[in-house]
Amino acid sequence: MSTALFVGAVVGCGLGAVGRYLLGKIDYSMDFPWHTVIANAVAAALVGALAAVDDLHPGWMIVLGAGLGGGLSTFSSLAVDAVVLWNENRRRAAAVYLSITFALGLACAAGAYALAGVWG
Amino acid sequence: MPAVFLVFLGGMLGGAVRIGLDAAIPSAGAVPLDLVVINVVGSAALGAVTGWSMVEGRAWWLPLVGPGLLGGFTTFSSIAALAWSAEAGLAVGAGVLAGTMAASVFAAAVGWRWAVRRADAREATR
Repeated sequence: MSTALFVGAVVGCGLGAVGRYLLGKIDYSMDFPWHTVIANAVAAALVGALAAVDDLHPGWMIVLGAGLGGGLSTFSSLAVDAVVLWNENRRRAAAVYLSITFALGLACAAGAYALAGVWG
Repeated sequence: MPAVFLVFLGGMLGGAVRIGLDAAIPSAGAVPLDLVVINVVGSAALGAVTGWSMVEGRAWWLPLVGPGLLGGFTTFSSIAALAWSAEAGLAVGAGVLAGTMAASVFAAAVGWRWAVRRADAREATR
């Protein structure tokens, strides 16, 4: 990996993290960590779409996939969100949260892959 | 320093470590074991940080380390899109995602309990 690609991916990751953080700042009326679900679903769609583009320069997968998508998405908040719900004795909400994250993550990656395959 | 800037800095740092490690470690097959380990370790660390701050209160560096460093270090998208980006097949991709989720939630819970115990012990000796 060239230095320029690495720097691009690192800056992309920083920007993705800021996007995820700002998403969490939006005031939700529902007491449920939707912002993590949405950030993860959007990032999964991004990587799925990139995977479908024919003869995509591998640099884009590094900068936009590993960088921007990797920064926008998070596994640590996903895990801790579930633990927080569990510790608040909201076991059902924790199970729903993990199920939705799992299903949406796969569905968004698959959907974006199919769409990008049609357009690309 | 504004929290957004701390998140940006931490995100770049976490991303640099993850992308650097992923480039340095040769992947065997379609399953990126290095990313799975990164996600489990990052989840344990965020569990510990969150548990600690529940006892000790919110520190100024929380945006830097939480959503920044550990959010950028871990990645959901690369794992969720595995079936399509690495042509791993849907069964393998879904299995890796479910397994990583289970391991990460468990790791975060262990990290949380450990940090809360440590913080409680620290408070007790004060």
